[in-house]
Amino acid sequence: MSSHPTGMAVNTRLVARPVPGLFTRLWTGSLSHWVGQYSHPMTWTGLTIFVLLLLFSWGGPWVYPADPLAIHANHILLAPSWRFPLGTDNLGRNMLARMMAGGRVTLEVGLLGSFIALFMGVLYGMSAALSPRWLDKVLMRLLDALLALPGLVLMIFFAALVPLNALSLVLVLGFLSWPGLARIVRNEALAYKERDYVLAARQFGAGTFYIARTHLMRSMLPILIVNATFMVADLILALSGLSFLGLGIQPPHPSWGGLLNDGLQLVIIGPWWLIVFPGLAIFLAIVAMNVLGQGLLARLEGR
Amino acid sequence: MRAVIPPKPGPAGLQVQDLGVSFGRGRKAFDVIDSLSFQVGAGETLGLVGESGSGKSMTAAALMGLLPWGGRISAGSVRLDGTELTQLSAPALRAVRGREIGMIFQNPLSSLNPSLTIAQQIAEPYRLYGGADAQAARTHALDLLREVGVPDAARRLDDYPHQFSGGMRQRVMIAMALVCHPRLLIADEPTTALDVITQAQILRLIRRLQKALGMAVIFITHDLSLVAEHADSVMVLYAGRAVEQGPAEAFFRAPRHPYSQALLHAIPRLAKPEERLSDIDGLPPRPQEFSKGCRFAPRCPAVTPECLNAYPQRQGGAHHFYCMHPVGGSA
Repeated sequence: MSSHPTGMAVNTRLVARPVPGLFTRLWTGSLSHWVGQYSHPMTWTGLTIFVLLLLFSWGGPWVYPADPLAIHANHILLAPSWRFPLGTDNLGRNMLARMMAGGRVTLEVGLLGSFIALFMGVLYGMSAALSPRWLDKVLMRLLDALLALPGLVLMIFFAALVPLNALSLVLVLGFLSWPGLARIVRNEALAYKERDYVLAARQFGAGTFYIARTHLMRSMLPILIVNATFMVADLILALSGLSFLGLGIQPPHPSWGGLLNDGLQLVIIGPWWLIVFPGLAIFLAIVAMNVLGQGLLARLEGR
Repeated sequence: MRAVIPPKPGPAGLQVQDLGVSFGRGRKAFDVIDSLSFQVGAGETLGLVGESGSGKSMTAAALMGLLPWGGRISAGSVRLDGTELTQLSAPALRAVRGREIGMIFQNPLSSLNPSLTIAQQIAEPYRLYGGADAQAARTHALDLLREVGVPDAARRLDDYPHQFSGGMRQRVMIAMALVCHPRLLIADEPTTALDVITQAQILRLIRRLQKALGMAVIFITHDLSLVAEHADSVMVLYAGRAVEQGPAEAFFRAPRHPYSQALLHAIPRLAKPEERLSDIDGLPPRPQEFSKGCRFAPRCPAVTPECLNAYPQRQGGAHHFYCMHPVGGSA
């Protein structure tokens, strides 16, 4: 028996329990809880497809190293064969290599762009929810104005202003996509900040920033994850749309949307492989993210 | 741990003088709490009694500087161990909340964040102000959990709140309130959501910890029988004002205010099961409708026209009350 600051005896026999290692603690503490919380057949399906696409884009070049920009003048518009598994385009470039390179850019923009959107949305939404009422009102009306602007038109406008490369497109798409998220974050924060445990935390001396970081963020994490997932799908689609309009990644660099556009120019002479493969890739990426999101949402709503 | 409030000469504990709380501005302003004075010495318990809406919880919120939006302390002073709390800056007040004043809430079911483990929550105030690393906070949390009587505490540290029963959750809340060894503990109806046996255990626990830590305790409740058992002094609130207060013994021996009398009559007694419980007709006034006279007058059995004209003068010494026609005749 030893003494505690309050003067009461503490039974030390019970204290001597091995402290679990970091991994054990992570796994038994929160990670298994997390996985259990989100596990759903749709989640696993979506995740699997998306991971396969990631493996194809980033891992593919190790298995099949080929230059996506190299022109083979003697092998123009070849149908899929052993040498060119996905065929060649009108300049004799290797479609498989181009699909891999295009996937890297497309997925990169989708993931990084939604990361930026998520960050901006959380920042703006939290600020609005935690500021005085009048400021919250001003910020929300401003947000209404932003939401009223047509997204694609704005994207075209900005795409016309900046040099078109992966980085600038990430920034443009990311910074144009956050208003919807900001509203969700703000509404969630408002709902959670009056919870008893948040009031309790305030009574234990917690400040606004601490509450936002610890209690509010944690409470809205599931819904943020779901929305981020859908956001990735939206951004992939938006980038493909821009590329299709010629305002995305500029030739000769490939992106899935751009490849689809190139393929459509030649559709009359019939190289189906130039349309089917990029189309399929875009389709799979978007379906994967939506299915993943739906799975998470299903768990979130308790189904 | 460094104390936020340096000890000052004078009586230890909490002294509240003429506290007033109002909402709104200009002509729309109204008081919800008016001229409240009381003190709780270190190691003492004050029972704050009143029905819903009488200002019990608002008093607690005012003491902690956490009034709801639009509310402010309009008058009076609140001193904790000689330091004036109403004059403190927001960060200083926040530090006081974390370390010098602990609070236990009515509903232990919703006062814990469902997505944080017990260890994380108990450690929360400690890490906010103790500045401790995770391992030390965890050890401290374990000690506290044992102290408040959670069985098999070491195993339960990583459990989530939904794995705890109501009584156990209230024990966790108490542990959180005690993390920084506060000088004042405000227990806002700590046992309302619990069954009678758990209630007794929790109250005994609070009493034991109070003795060990020498805390002043404000025990907010609408259950007079609990006050009789656990409080050293009593203050009865009605519509934002104290109608009667004093040492518990004197109060329960001879309550003087008709409202206190009526409250006591509303307690069921095992000795006389056949007796019909009495109640009080009508509802307390809303803060916007407070009259200048006695606020209990519309429901009082002893009301006379003069009751409506001016608020009654204070009568009595340590045990005093505000009534022109006290039970048992004027003093």
